Amino acid sequence: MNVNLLKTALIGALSLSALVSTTASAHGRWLLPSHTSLSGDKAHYVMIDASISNEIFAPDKAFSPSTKGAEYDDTLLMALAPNGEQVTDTIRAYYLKRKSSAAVKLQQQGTYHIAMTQKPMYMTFYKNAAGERSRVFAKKDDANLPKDASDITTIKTISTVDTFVSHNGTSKPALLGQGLELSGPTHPNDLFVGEQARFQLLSDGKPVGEGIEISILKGDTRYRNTRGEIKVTTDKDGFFTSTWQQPGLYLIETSQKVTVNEAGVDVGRYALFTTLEVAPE
Amino acid sequence: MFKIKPWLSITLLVAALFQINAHAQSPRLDVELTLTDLNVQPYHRPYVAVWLETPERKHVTTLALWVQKAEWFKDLRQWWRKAGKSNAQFDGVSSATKRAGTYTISWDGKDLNGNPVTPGKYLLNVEVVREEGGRDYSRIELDLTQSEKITIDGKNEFSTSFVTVSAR
Repeated sequence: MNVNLLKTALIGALSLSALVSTTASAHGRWLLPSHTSLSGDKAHYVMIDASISNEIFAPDKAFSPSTKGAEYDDTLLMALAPNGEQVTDTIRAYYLKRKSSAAVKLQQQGTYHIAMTQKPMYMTFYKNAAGERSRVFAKKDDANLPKDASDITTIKTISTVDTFVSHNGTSKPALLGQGLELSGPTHPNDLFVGEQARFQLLSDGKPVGEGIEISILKGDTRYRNTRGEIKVTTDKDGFFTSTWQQPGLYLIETSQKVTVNEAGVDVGRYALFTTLEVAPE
Repeated sequence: MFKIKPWLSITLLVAALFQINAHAQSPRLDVELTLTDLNVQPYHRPYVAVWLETPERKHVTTLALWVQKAEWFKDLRQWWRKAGKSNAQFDGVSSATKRAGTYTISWDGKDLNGNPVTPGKYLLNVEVVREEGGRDYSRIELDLTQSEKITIDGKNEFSTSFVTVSAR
């Protein structure tokens, strides 16, 4: 067989699949809470690690601070307290090369909804004169594209990267109200092996429709030869279920195309990365 | 020889039943729990919770809670999710952790507020968790209207234990 021909075909297939997968989901990103359930009246701290990594819950890249070169970022993470209000204490996420790390003080009793601040991310895909595909993290007008660039598409993504932590009992978690997020009936901090959990996927606080695919991926992918994610699909009211086979931390991932009326943006996307903990029976 | 006629025995039986009814008492439970003697270093005494739930898994009452600090309650995962979130006061059933051995936990059929629990079907839960050790959790069905003795087998943290239901 012609090796060169094979090589060319392979490279072509790889770059195409790279574009497709990047378009579909970009890199995995997640929060890793030190605890999801704490007891006792006094205030507790929970540590939240945040990373951009496809090895689930093994950190790879920290989130760059909003101020270039800063050692920390006070705007990376936010928390909604059990009373529904945003926590006003500074949540300082330190930039630690492979992860960003913050301590969140839980003063109220009930469930905290902890999330990365939702900021839009712009990506522009194009072909250069030689027909090679490329991408930049900017809107097409700000991207300094080569003059002869073609097939230009700008995608705007708003990701929800979140988790839930309960202090001395659970309460109904407050909603972000923007982007994608999970809602009950099952409480996100009451998950046990062998039991079925039922969630509703919300988009801007409203149930999504039928047919959105959700990936349920158990952490510690580094120690498995197969990723083994389970795919489920939302019903007409945005509900889906999962019966947990193994205890551990899970990443719930999905995305949705949304309409965007913004100059220079061709495609709008919401993405969701929710970390849940499942206890052994 | 004197023989009880069938009609007489039925009358006696009805009378006996009536007697029980007239002096209706709460059922009683005795849980004979054996905490396994483990030859491990370091050994921490286990946290123990024994409680009743409805068949729908709603907490009814806690029979025993052996753990000193509320901060450790969360490690009794099943108990914490079912009972810890209620506003019940566990002072009456709380105690310090205990060393390995056999203990009898007796229950008088009353909830934490002293009200009798309606006789019927319940789930008895036993959870034993040891810091730097294992966890054992067992959930059995029982009927407070049927006297019986049930054996429960722990895997690591508790050994063969017995639950005696005394219906009254």
